Amino acid sequence: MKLLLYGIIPVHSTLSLTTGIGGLPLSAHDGEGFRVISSQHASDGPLNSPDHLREFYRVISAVISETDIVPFRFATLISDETLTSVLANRASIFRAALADTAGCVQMDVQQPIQSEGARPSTGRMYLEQKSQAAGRLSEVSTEAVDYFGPVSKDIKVASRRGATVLSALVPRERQTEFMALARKKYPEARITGPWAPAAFVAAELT
Amino acid sequence: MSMQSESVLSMASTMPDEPSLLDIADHVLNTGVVLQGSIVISLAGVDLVYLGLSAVLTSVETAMKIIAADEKRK
Repeated sequence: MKLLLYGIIPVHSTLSLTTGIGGLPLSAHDGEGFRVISSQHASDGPLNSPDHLREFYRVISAVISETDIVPFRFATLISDETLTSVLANRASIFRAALADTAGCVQMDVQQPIQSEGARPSTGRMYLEQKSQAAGRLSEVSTEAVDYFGPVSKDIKVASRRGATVLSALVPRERQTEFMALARKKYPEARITGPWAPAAFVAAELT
Repeated sequence: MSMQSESVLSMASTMPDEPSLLDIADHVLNTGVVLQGSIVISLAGVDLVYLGLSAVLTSVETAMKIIAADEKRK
């Protein structure tokens, strides 16, 4: 039997949500100090439609409203026999991932990049523009760490599809303050969340 | 501005924007825990290529099903 994995939650968490993708029941598998939420993957068809993504997001969002979660990447399928060994072998890093993000959610601020400059016509120009872009991201990151200091535990900044995306690890009780500060500093930005704090999962897990 | 409209504006400023499908795809496909594995491609008992796998478990499983179905047809 194949299981679709949603995420890792604290060991004593209980969820009011009962169904996953396709209305199949959610189940919890206990590891040492954490639980993994899954649902059966009954269909032989691929999980590749926008509706599957939305359903996965619905499950993760419902869990976020109740407890912490470190999400698996969609769509991680695993056999139920393999799951036991995965839970045993990776227990310490799963626990560490939960501890790193405990009590926090991820908020994203997307700010369009004004201009990237002329299209590079030489390798030198390309490298210069790349270096300048990295410098800008670094500046945004430093500034954001200062600005959001009291309401965020960590900040990551990346460039994605013509926008600077600032992801903040925000304690649940500081979300409203974070939103107010973010709207004030970046009035034109799109601010989304709360997301599962996937951007702050240790590199060894991603 | 009335106190009521100020209050509505203040509430709006602390509400996040509705995520688009692209936002959702970015989060659920590009971030999150990956279970890693490995595969060794062999030919006639000789190991030729070692591949570290990340985030492709679904694709591999689907591919294996397709391969198995194809082999049955032959």
